[in-house]
Amino acid sequence: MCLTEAHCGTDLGLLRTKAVPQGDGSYAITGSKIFISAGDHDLTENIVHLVLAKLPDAPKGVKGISLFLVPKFLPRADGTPGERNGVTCSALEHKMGIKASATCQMSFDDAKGWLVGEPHKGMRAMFTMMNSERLSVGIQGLGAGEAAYQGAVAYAKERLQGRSLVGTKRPDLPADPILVHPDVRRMLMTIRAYNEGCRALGAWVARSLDVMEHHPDPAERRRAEDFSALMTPVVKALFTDLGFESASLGMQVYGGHGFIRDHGMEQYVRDARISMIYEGTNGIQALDLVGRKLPAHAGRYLRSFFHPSSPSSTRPSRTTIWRRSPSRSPSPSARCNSPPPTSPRRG
Amino acid sequence: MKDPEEAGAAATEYLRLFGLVALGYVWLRSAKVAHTALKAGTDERDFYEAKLTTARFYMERILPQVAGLLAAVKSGKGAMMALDEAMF
Repeated sequence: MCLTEAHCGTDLGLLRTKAVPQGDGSYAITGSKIFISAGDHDLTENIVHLVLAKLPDAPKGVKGISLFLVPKFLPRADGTPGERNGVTCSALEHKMGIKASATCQMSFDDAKGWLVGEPHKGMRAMFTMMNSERLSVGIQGLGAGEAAYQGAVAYAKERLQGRSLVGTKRPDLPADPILVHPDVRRMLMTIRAYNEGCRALGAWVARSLDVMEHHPDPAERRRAEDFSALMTPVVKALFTDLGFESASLGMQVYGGHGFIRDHGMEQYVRDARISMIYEGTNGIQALDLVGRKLPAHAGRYLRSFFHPSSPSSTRPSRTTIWRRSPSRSPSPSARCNSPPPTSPRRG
Repeated sequence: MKDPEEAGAAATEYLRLFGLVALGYVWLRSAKVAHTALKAGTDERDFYEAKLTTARFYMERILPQVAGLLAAVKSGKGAMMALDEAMF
């Protein structure tokens, strides 16, 4: 996914990458992108970039953005990767965390590409992918919280420091395991309450995505789509904010050793931090919730949360059974082809 | 929307407030499942009792944050936006 440029991430209407039609259905793409995860690597035989760029006659702002498919290797007639295309990694980003991710600055020099979807409708197309990405990033936050909890609990049971405030618990040992201390309990219980709550909330939204795809009743599908749209910014921002807090708490449980690389806790903090920023900063998620999702269709999305009128929609019971409707494709790729639940983000 | 800056000023705290309430709701549902399982008899008493204890921790120690968040949201954009640019 190639969206961000040095001067624009949140405000993509400002982007400068150009796409010039070549007359044969292809386009020449020229521009620079930054912060591109897996922008280049040798793990696969080809890399297919989805690039936001503007056509020569494009309207100003986000309404002028189109989506292009730009492969690293141009396909031969038999579909195998052939000639090298004009897309290269010009530099590596030197990051705080997720250092195993090949985050690149990408240079497009008359790279050959093809239009995906309609001209000037690039944001709408990109958002189909970004909506599920936002949920995935939320789960990244939850993952950081879970890793932090497991590391912190293991340490709290073994590390001996001080005695319980209400009397020695382990007289056989030189000190009590730090698990006895209220402050340590506070940190562990906080991470645990966040993790288990977010896991339940994430599962509820995930189930709603399935209902949205497969329920035979169109009213149920729409209610599930409303709920998924409403909850996406909450899952993304809440789970990543809490995941980072949990990573920091987990590191705190280790005391000084938490600051030392060998124990692994500081890495969770460094790795979790980006999840609050990418795929739409948490500030943008908040604006999406308040500015778009709350007022949408006179509060219809909100009703899917506060007043679900069907027992099977957002509060599924175990006895609810339905069969997959034969007219609806179950595959994830089909969902990418259907219109996104949310309207395109304005710049 | 009368003043979009009011929405902008409230948004981050509102999302946290909404999220904490949503977590409270799923914690309540989890607690109900645990309570039902314990009443019916189960081989996993420890699991369900730990679930109830953690739910209680959430309700007593974390959910009350919503009161502070609501006060912040209701205070409006005033002081947040009032400082002259030259004073930054």
